[in-house]
Amino acid sequence: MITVSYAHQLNYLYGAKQERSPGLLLQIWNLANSEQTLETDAYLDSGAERSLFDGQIGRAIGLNLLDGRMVSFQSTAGRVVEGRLHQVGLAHPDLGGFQLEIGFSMERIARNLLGRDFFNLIQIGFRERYLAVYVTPSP
Amino acid sequence: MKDMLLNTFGGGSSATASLGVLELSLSSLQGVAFLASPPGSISYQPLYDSIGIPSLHTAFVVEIAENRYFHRTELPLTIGMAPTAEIRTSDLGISDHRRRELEWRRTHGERLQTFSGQWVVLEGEEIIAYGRDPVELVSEAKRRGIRVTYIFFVETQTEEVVRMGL
Repeated sequence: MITVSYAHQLNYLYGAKQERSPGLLLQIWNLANSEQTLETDAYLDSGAERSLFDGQIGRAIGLNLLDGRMVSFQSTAGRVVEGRLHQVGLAHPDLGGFQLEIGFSMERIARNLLGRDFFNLIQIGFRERYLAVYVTPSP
Repeated sequence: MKDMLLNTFGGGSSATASLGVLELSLSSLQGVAFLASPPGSISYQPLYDSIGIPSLHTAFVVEIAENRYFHRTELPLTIGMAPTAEIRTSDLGISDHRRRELEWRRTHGERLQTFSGQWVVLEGEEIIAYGRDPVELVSEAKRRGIRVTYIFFVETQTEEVVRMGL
């Protein structure tokens, strides 16, 4: 049997209609100017190869989105969203801080997504029945 | 972890649990104002399912090594009056980050729906700003003296739509 220990429990986030989704409330900042920091929701998406945030969040922390390398984010249905890659800081009080190159969408997306690039930084487990995720800082 | 299921819990029973999940199925939600988390348990499952529909099922996660006996007076209370004790949702190891804001979001769904399709800046229980341009909203929050802005998008909810990642 493989046993994985987790240090923290975080409950799923609430939506406007009280629906629950697995997500983290993360701090994100501009590495060139740590004063440009905000906190926002990001949803855990194990099907995403790379994290993708709404481009407006990138603008709000002072990034010039067009400076980033362009990549296409493709959904399973084939829809393609253009994204621009930028190194940013991400942090959560229970997990510590990270630097990660994530995508910022060039169009409106409904949710910021944390993909497998983020999962590579921490250990995370889902307990859907209890609407909770379990996390520990070390991968 | 050992799961314990008490299908017929009626308020007069006792139970033991150790390093496990103590699950309860209530016969009715009528008159239930709150459920108090018993001592020794570290998390609490609210009586609502993932899409906000009231549920008769609840559970407590117990993280104590030795066998713990829950006297019936410690078990979840089912009383029809306003809560006089805080429900323990943030105990050992459970994140407390932005607790006030997340609790506000939990309890103000109807208010949030009025901001559908917009970004909202929330600080404590106060909506600082809302609108469609996060850059403006973050600037407004900084003008109000908020150093680190908490901003989130209120999704438009449509019936019969199943959300996926992208």
